[in-house]
Amino acid sequence: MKKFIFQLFAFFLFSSLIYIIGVGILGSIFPKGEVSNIIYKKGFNGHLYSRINEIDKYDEVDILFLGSSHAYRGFDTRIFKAEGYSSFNLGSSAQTPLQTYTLVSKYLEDLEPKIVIFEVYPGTFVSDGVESSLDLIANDEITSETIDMVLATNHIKTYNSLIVGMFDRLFIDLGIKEIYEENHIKGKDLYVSGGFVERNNEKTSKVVSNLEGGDWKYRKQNLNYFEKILEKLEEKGLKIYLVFAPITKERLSKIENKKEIDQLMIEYENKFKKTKYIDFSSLNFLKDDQEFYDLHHLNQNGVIKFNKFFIQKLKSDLFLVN
Amino acid sequence: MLFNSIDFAIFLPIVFTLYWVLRNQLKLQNLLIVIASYIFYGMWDWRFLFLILFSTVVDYTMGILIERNDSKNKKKLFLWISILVNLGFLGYFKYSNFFLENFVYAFSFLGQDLKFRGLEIVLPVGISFYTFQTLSYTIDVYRKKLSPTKDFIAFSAFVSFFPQLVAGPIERATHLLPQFYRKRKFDYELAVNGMRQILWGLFKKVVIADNCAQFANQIFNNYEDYSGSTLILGAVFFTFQIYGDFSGYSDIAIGISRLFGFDLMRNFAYPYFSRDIAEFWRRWHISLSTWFRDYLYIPLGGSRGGMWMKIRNTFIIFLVSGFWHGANWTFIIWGALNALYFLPLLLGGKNRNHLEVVAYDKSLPSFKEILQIGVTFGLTVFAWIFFRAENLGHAFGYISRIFHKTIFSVPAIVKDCKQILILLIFFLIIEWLGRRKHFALEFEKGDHRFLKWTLYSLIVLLIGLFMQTEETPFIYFQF
Repeated sequence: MKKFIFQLFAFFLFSSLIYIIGVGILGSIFPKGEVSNIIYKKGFNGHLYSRINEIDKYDEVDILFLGSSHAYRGFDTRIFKAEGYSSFNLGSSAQTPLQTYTLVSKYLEDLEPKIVIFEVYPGTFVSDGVESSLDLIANDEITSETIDMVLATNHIKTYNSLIVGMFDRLFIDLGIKEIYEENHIKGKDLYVSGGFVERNNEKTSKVVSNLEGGDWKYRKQNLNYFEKILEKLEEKGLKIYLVFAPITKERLSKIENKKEIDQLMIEYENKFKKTKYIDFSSLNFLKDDQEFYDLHHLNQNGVIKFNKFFIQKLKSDLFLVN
Repeated sequence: MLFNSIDFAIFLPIVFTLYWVLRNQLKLQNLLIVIASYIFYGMWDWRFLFLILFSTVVDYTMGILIERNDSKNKKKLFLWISILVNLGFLGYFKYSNFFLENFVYAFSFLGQDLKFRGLEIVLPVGISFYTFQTLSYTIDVYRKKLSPTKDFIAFSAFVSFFPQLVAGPIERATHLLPQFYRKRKFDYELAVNGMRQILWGLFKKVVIADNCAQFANQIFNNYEDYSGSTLILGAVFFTFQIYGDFSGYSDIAIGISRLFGFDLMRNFAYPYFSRDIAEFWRRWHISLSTWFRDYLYIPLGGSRGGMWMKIRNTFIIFLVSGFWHGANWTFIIWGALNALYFLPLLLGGKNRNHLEVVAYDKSLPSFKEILQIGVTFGLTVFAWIFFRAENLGHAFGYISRIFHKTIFSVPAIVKDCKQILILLIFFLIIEWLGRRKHFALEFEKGDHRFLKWTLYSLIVLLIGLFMQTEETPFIYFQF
């Protein structure tokens, strides 16, 4: 029996070594899903790489935006600046509370915001967080927080991606690979300093018939991390606005348990005294076929209208909590 | 609990450790197996544990009563009680809706329009497997091939042994039950081979079967959108899916049993390298084929009688085998088709032409053997279409679209399935190289350790790179 356990342990070490080297090398050659369970995309859709690289330039911002693409495509830091608010947008693609927690743990001290606008699109609470974890592994620094996030995601793709990420950084340090530089213009997207991503005024196509309705079941893990974030932010004495950003009426109509979702957010509002939930999911002045470029993202016209409305509300301090 | 789940990865080492801590206490080891097996099964649906317990009590009791009574009629009565209880459960849970639906359908021909919604019956996982296993016990006791056990715990462990409880191999009482009476000693070589077999089984399931399933499901579910050549590819993918899935499960089950010092019967022996259908059926789901042979075919007279008796018995065994798989006409047609494939060989006296594995003393097959393997594989692929189809309309629709002028076009999904095609080539090479052994990764003691470990590590790497990330149940659980 002893021999068996010893051999098993020795094989475990041997195969782990082969596994790590194999994934590291294969991931460097085929990083973009050519091998099913390796996805390591530097410069992913959401420009997280550029965003993270300019965090150092920002400190003591008035507003920090957190959340998914609805955050980094929905809050234009230029508009806020023009109205007198310094801000940074730390949104990233499909960001679930787990990734928000990771980013907050890493960068809250650097950015020192006064107010946090936390975008709470239901999809991010339903998601398993794999897509967003992959984004963070490839485009953010790998630190102990990243490893915690990978363990919490507990998915073979994120484990593999972490290995590839470590090899990537090693190859860069050894001079085998060049440091990546992200283009600020990608397709129809323009990255704007401060974290916002601008999409031109393309309008939504009306291909909506295949969208299925249903109840959006929030994952327990996402809610746990959501609560942890709110605790962390309140500990710092920050005001927190939980914002359901605008989406098309068509998309909204497919969220059949919207009332339940609102009620959940109100419960958090009651639990955390500096937190306020504001539902902008259906603003009448935003038309599905005019201010959106797809079913749930504003185009630049929409962003301008929404942000101005939002700032007005912010200035009138309507949401401020006593 | 699935073998390919995190739960099981935690469960197995705990049970393994406790089991060998109790190595000098046979009764406690058996009790631990019973408890572990009930937990393993209860994680699906604890309600059906009572069904297993009831079957266990009935067959244990009938075994003793058969032995105690001298009267032949009474012995027969107790045997029939066991058969009726086991097949009664199976019939109720698995076949009630099928018979009722067909009854209603038959009446509709007579102009009677009966309304039928179907009964809401949940099929207990693995019921077809453990009922056959316990039946083998009472039948063998009746035939005096086995003395009835007086050890209820050992018998419970035999019925519910978790590695093979839900999808076999279907063990004979004469083979497995005595192993529960003997003191088990940890055997290093047996355990190492068990680990190898588990690894290979896992690769077959999570890499080969689950990846093939992606394409097979897509093509079968949308067959009207695809060309004839793509439909052939879809059937080939299903052919590998079902083999990887089921033989993968068997490998894991046998491998786990070895870790606990048990020897289970072989269930697959490289069936897709068969040169004719008779050889295929000696190599596919061996535990079920031999069960039907021993408990149905031979009692019916086997192939001893005249031509008509041979034909009748062959059809009976293949139709029953098809029906065992599921309450659907597709399985019955699948069975009938295999009977049709098999009969010419039986009637021509050629059903035992290929007893050794192909190219036993050569590294490569001859041209003739390649042709024979190709034809047998083609026939098998064709029959699997019925097995996979939702209903007969689906099967015939699928087949009719294959024989279309698009049969000669390049399959639409070839570009998307490069990965799985490369993995299948790797898989077939390893299976071919290992075809003389019980399973492809079986090695003799003293072979080059570094090379072996490198190969195992490569398989671990392939699992990590290509496994499907959703836990998918094994196909045979539904049977």
